[in-house]
Amino acid sequence: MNFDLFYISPELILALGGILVLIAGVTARRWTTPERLGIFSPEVVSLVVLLAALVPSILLLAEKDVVRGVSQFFYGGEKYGLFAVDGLALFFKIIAIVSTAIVVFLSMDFFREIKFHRGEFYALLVFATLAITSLAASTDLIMIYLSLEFLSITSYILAGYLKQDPKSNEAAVKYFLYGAISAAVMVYGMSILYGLTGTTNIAAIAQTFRAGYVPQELLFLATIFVLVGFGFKIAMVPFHQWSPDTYEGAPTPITAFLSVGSKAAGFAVLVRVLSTGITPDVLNWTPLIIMFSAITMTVGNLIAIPQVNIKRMLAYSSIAQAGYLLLGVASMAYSPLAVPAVLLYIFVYLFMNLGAFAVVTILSARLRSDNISDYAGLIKRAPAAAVCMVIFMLSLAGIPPTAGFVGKLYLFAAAIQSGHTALFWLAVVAIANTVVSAYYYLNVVRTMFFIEAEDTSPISASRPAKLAIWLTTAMTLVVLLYPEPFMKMAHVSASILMGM
Amino acid sequence: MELWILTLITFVPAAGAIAILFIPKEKDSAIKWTALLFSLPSLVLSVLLWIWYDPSKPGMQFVQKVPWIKGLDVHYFMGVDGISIPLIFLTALLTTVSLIYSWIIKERPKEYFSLFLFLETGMLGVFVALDFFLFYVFWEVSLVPMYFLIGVWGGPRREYAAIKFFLYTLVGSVAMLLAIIGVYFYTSPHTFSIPAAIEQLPFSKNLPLQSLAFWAFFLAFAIKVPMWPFHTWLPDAHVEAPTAGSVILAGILLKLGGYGFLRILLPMLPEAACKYSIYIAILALISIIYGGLVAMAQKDMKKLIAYSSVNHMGYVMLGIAAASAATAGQLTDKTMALTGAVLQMFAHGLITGALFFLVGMIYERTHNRDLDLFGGLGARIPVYGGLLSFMAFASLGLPGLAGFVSEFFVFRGAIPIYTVIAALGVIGIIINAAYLLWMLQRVLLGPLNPQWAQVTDVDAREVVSLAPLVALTIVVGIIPSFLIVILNNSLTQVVLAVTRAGGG
Repeated sequence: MNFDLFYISPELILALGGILVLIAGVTARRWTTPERLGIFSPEVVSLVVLLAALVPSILLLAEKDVVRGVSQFFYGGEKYGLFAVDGLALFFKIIAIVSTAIVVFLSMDFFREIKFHRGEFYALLVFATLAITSLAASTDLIMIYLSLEFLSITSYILAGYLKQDPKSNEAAVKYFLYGAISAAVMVYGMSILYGLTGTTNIAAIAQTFRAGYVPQELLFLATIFVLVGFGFKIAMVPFHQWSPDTYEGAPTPITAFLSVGSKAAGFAVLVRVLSTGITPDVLNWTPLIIMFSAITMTVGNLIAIPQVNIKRMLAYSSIAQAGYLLLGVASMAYSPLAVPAVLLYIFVYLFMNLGAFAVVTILSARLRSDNISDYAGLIKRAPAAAVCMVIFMLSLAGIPPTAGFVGKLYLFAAAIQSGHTALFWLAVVAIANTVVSAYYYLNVVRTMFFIEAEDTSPISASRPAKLAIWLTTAMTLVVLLYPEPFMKMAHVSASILMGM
Repeated sequence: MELWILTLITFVPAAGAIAILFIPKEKDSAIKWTALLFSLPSLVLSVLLWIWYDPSKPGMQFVQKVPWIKGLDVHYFMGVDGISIPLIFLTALLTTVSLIYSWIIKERPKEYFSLFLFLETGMLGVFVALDFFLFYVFWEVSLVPMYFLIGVWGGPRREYAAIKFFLYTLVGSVAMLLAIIGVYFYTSPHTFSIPAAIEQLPFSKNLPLQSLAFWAFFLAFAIKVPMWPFHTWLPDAHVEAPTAGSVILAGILLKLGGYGFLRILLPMLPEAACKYSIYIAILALISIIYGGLVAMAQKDMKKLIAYSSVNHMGYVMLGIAAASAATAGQLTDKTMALTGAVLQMFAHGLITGALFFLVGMIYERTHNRDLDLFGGLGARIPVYGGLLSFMAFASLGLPGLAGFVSEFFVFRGAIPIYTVIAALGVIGIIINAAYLLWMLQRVLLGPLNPQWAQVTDVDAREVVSLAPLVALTIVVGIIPSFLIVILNNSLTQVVLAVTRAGGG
């Protein structure tokens, strides 16, 4: 066994770095303020830590073994370990770290006026990143459960961070109650899996099922129960009810975090379990996922239409986006393009969705409102932000010339390549949904461009928020203009699961 | 130069659009001159393209093919043939004259001119793209600026019209996207190249799938054309759009649909095209008659011109349907019908573009489009009256002008193939004459409404923007051969492709 600390260096850096951010929060309180950041302020330290964790993740992904699809397992032996260092895990490490870094930039803008417990806030963000990276790497039910709870608990606190704001409290409580119940149901499902196979390792579970008798009904039940837990994280209908309230009440950067990092973590574990644990030859789960996908995208899009609060609108939009991603998950058994398509879409989604939230963050602090109607005349008040918002909205709707189009093209391609009739019709449902979604995404554009503002005073953003917006805008365009390296990354990262 | 000419034609306007973004918004005339300056290279180059193009050689010319996304075999693949060159020229011309006409725009000129140039890039891109991926990107890129042009600078119901236009077109586009992916997986090696797909004839052994792909493409193109019953976005969008926006909508964006039939649908899915040709012919007939009758019922002058587009694009579709008919032989008739269709696209772009300008001119002077409130303007503003009459006559198919030539070709080609439908379609020409003459009567003749006693005649800017359209309408009417020469070879290829695989 290859025991090398380098393989878990991203996690080590995040764990130690989180503690360092905590210390920075204590020591820096007196001599560094959100306006004048010192070198050892929690903001700067957390960014340095994230960057330090990003570098080994990229280096590992570029390594030969990973490219060949060989998984480095830690703790527990070559084949049946707890923790994998493979393409999939590394890909989601990169997703988690990049998205958290952008969220840190947004938080720096958001917390200019709120000055309590900065250190703890950024430390929790770094720990939540650690939770995502370990969830994506988990290959054992116990490890999955622990990482999922780790992520949930940090998220509960972050969602309720504005403790004087009743809405933030509501966000945290709702999130916690739904999270606790779905985790309990998931653990029950896991215990059934353990009872059936006598092991908690997902690869070993698949092995046992292949070798012997599979009680289909019980396995189906266990799968549904496990999906409750994953579905909660990705906001899959009908386990999505927490998300609109939590998204609305949580501090905006945390909403951004929940809609990207946390959702990506859910997809990481979903893809891993469905492709290496409960494999399609053990249980034909394709119809089940097709059903969830169709319901999720349709419900998300239809309820997004009447929303007046942009955070709620984006909550339903991100439910719908989970539905599109589930289209890729559903195609996994039939199309080799499916996993790369899911990964590429998550990558694209990271930038377009965080970009949209970046604009929302600066506006909610300046307009003191999250209502779409208050975005009227934004083209005159903040032209750059308005134009970037158009790009994000078009991208979320999957309209060229934006990255969202490439992502959707890949997902549809996977569904059509499968040659599976039901998946083809799911793609038809998805394109119908695309048209519906264009309506409410363009409603934001309409408000910003077509309606005159009463107040025409210019709005300016802080430097970190500007940086976040420019970065996400650039990526949203670059992935269309030059998608090659990103597609390659998605294919390399997915290669480990291709032998399914 | 040969290699880069299409790239230059397509992207110089986009460069201009970006340049305008850096001009301070107070510098009104700098913005306008920059826009005009950046629209001229495409116009000049498209003329050169026309001259340099060798019509005797079959296939694509001025081809540029650079790998773009290797994993998906997507190429930056551009090229033109006899079908695209006239449309590229038309696009460049109408954009330039629209920019000249738009000199009076006072509201948010920076965004307006920037969007207009982006729009030009999108439209030109569709006509030069030979890769499905590129084609689709341009197809959608042409949608977004028009959405803004209608929504910001449009009439009272502009928001409704803008989103209706966008969603209607998007329905077609996403259906086309699925069909494009289907084509990709049914070619081997998988390719997004349009010429390669045409060569391989995907789905040629699988008629049900081919039909599905056919209807998906059909939906995208028929909505754009628009054919009855997919036309309901058109009156809203055309009426609410600012004048120059209506000109581009009617002049170019509708042609994207017709172009799609010629470039993709007929040559790539010939069996399905033959099989469903009769249905397209019937829909075309309905468009002709219905569009004409509804135009006759209009009191709003702009709406009348808008519905006349449904009527005129019906002739285009009749020509296309006749060319794809499932009859053996009759190659001459088919080629003639198709020639008529493309001529009609070109002529309609000139004539209806000019008519929308004329409606805009009178609206700016009177803030009225209600035909019943006009009257007697022919004596008050004779130059305007002359121009309006000229264009209306061109539109109703007066021999010697562009409209007549194209309609003649369409019916000459279609009558031997779809005798009954084409014969009924001729009624459309009568309706066409009726509503246009009636419009002329209500605007120009009769007693002058004293409200308009102070109306002034056309000014220099308006003459400059109309003059090229008037001149070309005459030229195409008298010597259509210069267009037919360039079209002939490419259209014969399309007819051969569809006949060989389908009816023949």
